[in-house]
Amino acid sequence: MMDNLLGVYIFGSVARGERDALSDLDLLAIVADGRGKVPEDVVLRYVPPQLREMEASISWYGGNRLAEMFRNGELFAWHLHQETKPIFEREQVIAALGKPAPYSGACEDVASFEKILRAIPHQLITSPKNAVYELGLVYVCLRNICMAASAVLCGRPDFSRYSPFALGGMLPIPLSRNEYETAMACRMAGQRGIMPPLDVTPAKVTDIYDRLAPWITALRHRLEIKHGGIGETNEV
Amino acid sequence: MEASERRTRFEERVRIERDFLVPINQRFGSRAPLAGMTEAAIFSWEKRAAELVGEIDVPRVAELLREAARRAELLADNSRDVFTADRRVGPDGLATLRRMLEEALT
Repeated sequence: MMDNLLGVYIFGSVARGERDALSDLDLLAIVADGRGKVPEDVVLRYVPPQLREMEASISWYGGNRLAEMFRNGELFAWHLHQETKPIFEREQVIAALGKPAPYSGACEDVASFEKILRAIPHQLITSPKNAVYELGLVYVCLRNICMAASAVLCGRPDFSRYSPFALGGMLPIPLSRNEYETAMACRMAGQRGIMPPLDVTPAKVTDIYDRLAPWITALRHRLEIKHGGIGETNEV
Repeated sequence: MEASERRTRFEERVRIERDFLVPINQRFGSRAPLAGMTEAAIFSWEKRAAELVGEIDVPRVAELLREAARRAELLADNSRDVFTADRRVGPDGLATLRRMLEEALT
């Protein structure tokens, strides 16, 4: 069983040195292909003592799928390439994969998240009591849109939680930090089970969406004009 | 595949989550909203919903949610799957579970 585990890596806010009260411990567990997962406690025993009180979130990958992501230049491969810190390695999996292929999917990825966002106004009309979930979607879509866009506009993807506020080459995002943090809390309620914010109304979510939608469209147009990716026009 | 045709796993996850969250929140959204379909989110909702006086069998509803999430592989926090191209999540039985959920909520 232990032989199935090829490596355990930390990534995310802890690996970036941006740990705060909202951080969980993102772990990448790489297992041998075709042999399934190992028990979680096997992975967790490699967590350094000073991080053991954190809530761990394990992402499981087989070596082949990981290599495929690097070959495809997927944004998550760049995320791992930039951030991972090994805490156990049977073999040097991430380092051996080298640099991912250029990320060229920014426009496509942004369009995919835009599509999800566009459904929100209708959802708020037909299911107004689902407003917490919908605002959580605003957060995750916006954050991922800006991560993808930063790869093109900033030359290096910004995976931080506040990437929408650090995107160069665009007008400032029409959203306050307080609104963004409320949206983040909605998402964390849906992922980690924290208490959802109590003051989220359909009108508030609609107002936020109405401000963001044209900004995101302008962002996508800018990406389409630039149409580059990390590793292509901008080396990291 | 055309960009407009691309369907990510995340899009499919959102579709399934909405399908199960909407009927729950029609009943509980004002006082105990369900915010997602991870194990932690369902557990949190179950505790809050159980404190409300009502005729709904909350543990039964929570178990249906867990079973749906298990079948659709939604229980873990797969936030990093948002950029993973579609591996269609369409397990058998979700429609049946959705019907059972409606029955449990009436």
